[in-house]
Amino acid sequence: MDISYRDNAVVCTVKINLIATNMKQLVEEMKAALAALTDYSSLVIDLAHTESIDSLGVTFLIGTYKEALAQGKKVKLTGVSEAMFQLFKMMKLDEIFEITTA
Amino acid sequence: MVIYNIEGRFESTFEEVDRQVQAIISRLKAEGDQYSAGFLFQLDFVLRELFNNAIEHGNQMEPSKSVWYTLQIRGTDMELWVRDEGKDFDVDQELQQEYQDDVFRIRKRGLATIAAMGFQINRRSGCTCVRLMKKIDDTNGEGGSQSGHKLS
Repeated sequence: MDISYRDNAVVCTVKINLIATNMKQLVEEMKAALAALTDYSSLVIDLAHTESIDSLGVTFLIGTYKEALAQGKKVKLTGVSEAMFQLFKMMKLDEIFEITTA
Repeated sequence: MVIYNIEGRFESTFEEVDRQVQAIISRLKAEGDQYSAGFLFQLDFVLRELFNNAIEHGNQMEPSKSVWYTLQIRGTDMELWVRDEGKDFDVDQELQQEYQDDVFRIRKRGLATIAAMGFQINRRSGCTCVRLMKKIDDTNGEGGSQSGHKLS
């Protein structure tokens, strides 16, 4: 996961799939992003390079959202494929995340 | 009519789940544009959900225990069987538990999502087999159609 900073946001560019085998790595890397979030107004998670997701990946996104919310920050998902967006809609995740499709 | 029959058995690790799913999706992608990106994305999600459930809840993450599967595609009809070595469970009861209106819930959303995609979920009585059926349509990952549209 690449972490950069722009427009008062911490931008996390996810380079791997949001699946069970990658959870430990993703959680560790997101900790750094959430720690840096203190000085910014929002967290952007760029999923343009993510092709697969499972329930643990969804849990990871929701957990990240909750932690950011606890800091009073917004979370946006960008680069989401149309198929993944439809999945997020089924799960009502579009009601909590601001989502931009690729 | 194009017929694919993909069978496999694997040990109960998340790494094996990933390897099996990638192999299946790669094989279907190799068929060119026969299957839409939306369908392949849904199938990828469904396979991961059922395989993860099988190793986690069925086989209790014991690597020595196996998961068996059969994926059959006949024209626009898809059928998937997944069997593990765990205890029997009630799919309908699981689904009812998952139909909660709490978007923040941490787990328990996979089967309900699969149903929302238009997959029929059944269980073979007396064994830990889950059977999924779906008409393959040309949507881009939207909810399921039972009308059986032909692929373009």
